[in-house]
Amino acid sequence: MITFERVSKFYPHGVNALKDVSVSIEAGEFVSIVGQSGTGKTTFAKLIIAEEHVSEGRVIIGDWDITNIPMADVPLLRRQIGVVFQDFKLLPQKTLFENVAFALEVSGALPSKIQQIVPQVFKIVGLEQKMHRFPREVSGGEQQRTVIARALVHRPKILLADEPTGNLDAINANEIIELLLKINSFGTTVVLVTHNREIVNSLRKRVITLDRGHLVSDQATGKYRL
Amino acid sequence: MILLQTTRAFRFALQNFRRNLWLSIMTIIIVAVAVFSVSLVAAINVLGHRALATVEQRVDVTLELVPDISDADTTAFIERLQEQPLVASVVYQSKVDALETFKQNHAGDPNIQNLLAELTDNPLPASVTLKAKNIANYDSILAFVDLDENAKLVADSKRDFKDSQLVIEKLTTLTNRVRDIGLLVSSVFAFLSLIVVFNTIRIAIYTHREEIGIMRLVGASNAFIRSPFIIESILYSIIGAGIAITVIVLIWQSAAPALHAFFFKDTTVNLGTVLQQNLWSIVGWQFLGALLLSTLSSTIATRRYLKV
Repeated sequence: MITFERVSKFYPHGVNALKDVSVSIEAGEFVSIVGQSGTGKTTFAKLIIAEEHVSEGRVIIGDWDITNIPMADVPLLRRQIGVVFQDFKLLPQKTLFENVAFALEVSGALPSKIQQIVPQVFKIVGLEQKMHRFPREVSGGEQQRTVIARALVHRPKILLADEPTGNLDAINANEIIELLLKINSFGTTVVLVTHNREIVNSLRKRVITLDRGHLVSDQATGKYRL
Repeated sequence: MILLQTTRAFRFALQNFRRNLWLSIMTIIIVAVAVFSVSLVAAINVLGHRALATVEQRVDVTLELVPDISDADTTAFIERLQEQPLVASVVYQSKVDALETFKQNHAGDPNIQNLLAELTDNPLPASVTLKAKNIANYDSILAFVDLDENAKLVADSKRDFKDSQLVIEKLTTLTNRVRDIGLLVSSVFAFLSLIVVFNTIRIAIYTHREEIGIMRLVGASNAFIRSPFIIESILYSIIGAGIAITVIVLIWQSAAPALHAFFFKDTTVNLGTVLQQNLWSIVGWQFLGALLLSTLSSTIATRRYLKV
């Protein structure tokens, strides 16, 4: 599903975010990418959604080599990968429903399809009762669930979550992880980028550990090692 | 699908327009001023050319022929004049016609009528009235008239075109000077509006950076992300040009009588008709100009600040 072949990413001024990383993530897996701040976790995530391009090596998503993906094809790629970030990225002047519908609107979905899909994804994340509220009227955990709902509207094969619990308390964080596990159980590949030791240890799923840009560990049922 | 995406892009554009309302209004005013100043230059040009054409149409040269000229010489002379490439028209007036015209022109003057009744002979000469294709051609034509074979047939010539030529030269200089200044002012306003539209779109992009980020994240196409900003600038140009055109039509209509009295008195030129005849081409060119201006500036702004 996701293949990194000897991937390196260099930034100007001698910053090497990733060095010679080779890894393969299969369809339906739940993988945690862990490491301390500045170890290249977010660069790893950005390469998957083509927000960054590799300096060396190849990145393949499914059968699609996105190493030198043309700009015009990036939107097509991103419709196949749901993305969840730490800082929610919800529009405050839109209701939760409108925020999720927005993802479909800008992709050219018909209004009838929007009316059909949006309530479904809110049901998956357990927010169908609050979907007409504004972001300021719900908790941080509920905002993050809305973001997950938005990530699901294109029925992605991959869900990429970059520090999704970073702004949440322990209870809300656990609820989000439960939700990610639920989505994974439907067959969606989940890539969780985090530095939350408790969450990674409790998951008992595959863990890939990065340290200063190097892949230092890849365990099938791993723990947070650093 | 295209219709749906266009409708949504329009909705986002209107949203941008509303959220930065004052900025939008200022941009529209600048576009309107730019379009108005260009139109003013065009109007001055049109008026100047019409005025010049009117003055030029009134200029002619009358050559009085010698009293004893034969019919054969008259015909040959007229033919020679008509063959001249610089001559636009040659009108011959016989002695009889000249007398008839004179009588008609002074029909209300009993003294002249009495004087004419006492005359046994027709004292008026036959004449040829020349019009040149261009005011600058009169010198060459009169040089041709002054050649021996022609000069011996001409008794006298009314060569008053020099005064008219002077008037035309002054009018041409004035029109050209006003046009040059106008072009400079228009260029400044056009450049200003280019900068202002550019800046407005830049601010709109900055205001919507959050939405743009989310659009990118959820897979909106680059064209879809850019289109609301282009549409917004097109709105500025349409509204700006619309305001400018309305103001121009109102000013033209109220100023037409005064302009007519000043430039086109005793002529068939009708300024109202001139506007009616040219209105759609003026409107078309103004919209096109404003559209090009705003599309250019918004395209530069989106390419510069909207890295999608």
